[in-house]
Amino acid sequence: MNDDVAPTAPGAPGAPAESLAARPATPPAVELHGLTKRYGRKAALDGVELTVPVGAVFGFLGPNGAGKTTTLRILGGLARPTAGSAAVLGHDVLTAGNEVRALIGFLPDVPGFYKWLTAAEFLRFAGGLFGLDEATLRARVAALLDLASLAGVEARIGTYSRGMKQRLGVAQALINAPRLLLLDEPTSALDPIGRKEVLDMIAALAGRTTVFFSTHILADVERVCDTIAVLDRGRVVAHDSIDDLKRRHGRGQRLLVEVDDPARLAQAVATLPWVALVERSGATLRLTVSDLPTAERQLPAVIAAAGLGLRRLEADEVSLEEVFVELVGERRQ
Amino acid sequence: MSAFSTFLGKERRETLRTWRLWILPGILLFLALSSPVLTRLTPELLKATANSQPGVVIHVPPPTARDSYVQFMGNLGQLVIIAVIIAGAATISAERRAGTAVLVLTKPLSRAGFVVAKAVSQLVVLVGATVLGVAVCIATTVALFGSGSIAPFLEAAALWLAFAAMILMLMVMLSAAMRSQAPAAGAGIGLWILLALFTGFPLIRDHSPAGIIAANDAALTGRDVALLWPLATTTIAGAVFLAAAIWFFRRREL
Repeated sequence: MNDDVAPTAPGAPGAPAESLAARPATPPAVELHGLTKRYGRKAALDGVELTVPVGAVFGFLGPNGAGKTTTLRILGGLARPTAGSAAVLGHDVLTAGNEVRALIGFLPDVPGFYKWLTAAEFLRFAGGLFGLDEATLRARVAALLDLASLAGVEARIGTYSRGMKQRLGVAQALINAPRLLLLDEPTSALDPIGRKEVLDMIAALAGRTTVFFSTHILADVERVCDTIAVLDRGRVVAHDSIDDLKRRHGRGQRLLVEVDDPARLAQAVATLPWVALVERSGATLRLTVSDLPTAERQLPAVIAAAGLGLRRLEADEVSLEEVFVELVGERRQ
Repeated sequence: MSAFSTFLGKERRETLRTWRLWILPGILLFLALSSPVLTRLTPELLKATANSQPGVVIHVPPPTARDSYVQFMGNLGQLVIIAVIIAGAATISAERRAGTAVLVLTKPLSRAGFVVAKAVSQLVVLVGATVLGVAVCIATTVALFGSGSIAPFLEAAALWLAFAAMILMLMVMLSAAMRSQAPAAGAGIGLWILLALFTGFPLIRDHSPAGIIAANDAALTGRDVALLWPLATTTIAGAVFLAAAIWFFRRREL
């Protein structure tokens, strides 16, 4: 993509844990304090606290109905909070109006287009709303049509597939080279190819702009995001880098062990106090342990004492899905 | 170019490229052609009906250009007002339901700008369609009845346009306040009927937009009526409806 389309973000996207801990000199891309939204007696958002650093590709994760879309609608100025505050790049979204809208790109979960326009016409229209001059508009429309794989498509939007509309949706959200891109479930209704195309577009933006990306598809988050927050029933239940979340969550930690006789090793470790669960898959044993450092220290000795030959010993990565189920499932129970 | 003018440009293109171009202008054009023709043929039709029933004799004075204009204005006052109500009921709600308002309003266009641009574009279509209809009606009438005084007709048409513009602003407001086209159209028709009923109460009629409905007939028949109050209240009501539309839309969550 042309650099003209999305600016290089001032913050580095690489160190999310550090950016979460230390308050950056520039205002965060998104800052929510006590954000609450009630519909009658039902709380869609219940005191959400969240800070997203500039430059992050941020995954806003949660089950259906968790409050993700409500949060994005408030950030986009489409809904008002019942209580609390929401700021985008230092501007209060409730009072700033056009100041905020000039800085963001927004894609709703189901984007509505004027069906009688072509993709190029819609992008020109969207750019015109930002007051872009003719030369900039021409360059960005061409670059974004290319990015969305819609260059040369002369058909009207009414004839597009869902995937084409979604790609055009991402493209229109980039027309102003936004400092913050808000995407609401951009891949939820797409087939695998459409999903890959949209994720590729998002991945290409890493380091150029801050992306705030809501979804319930964990694989999408793992693929493109560096930092995530998990929202459940209107509350943020976790907020960290994916790696740190995996380290901190997941029931216990796991080791993968391969020896020449796995059945004997299974017997040997079954009664050890730090072994919580032994699972066997072919020649591989998966041990869920309650104390990883002790396990890493003592397991080679146990294997040697049993007279077994060690072929492989490594930590087994906890999946984001397991972390998610632990975080959300615990609250459900 | 500002966000407002860009959005107004989109409205212009939408009018030219979609069905919107054909509804009001199409109806007005049809009525402008058919009203003089029907007026011209009415005596012949009545005579033919009478001849088929022995003993029935109907005397119909020869139709005039004024009868043609009265016929056209009668259609404007009913059919076209209903068309204005139905088309106007979708002004804001259609963009909201289609999801297009979300993409537009997350860009630097204010909600007030959105509502005003929608109202202006609908008003331009109404004015253009009225001018077209009046011009075609005059041309058809002159062709069928010969030249006659068109000043009373122009006055009546101008009064109708003021009334229709106010109804349009009422519909913009109802469209901003209600979720969809159908309830807004229903409410609009109800309020229009209420306004028509006010013509039966002189005190209310002479000091409200209902006076325009009565003044319309008076202009065509050459009777003098006081227009200050009806015109002033119609203009003020139109402005109040537009301001209320902005107020409603600013408070609506999308």
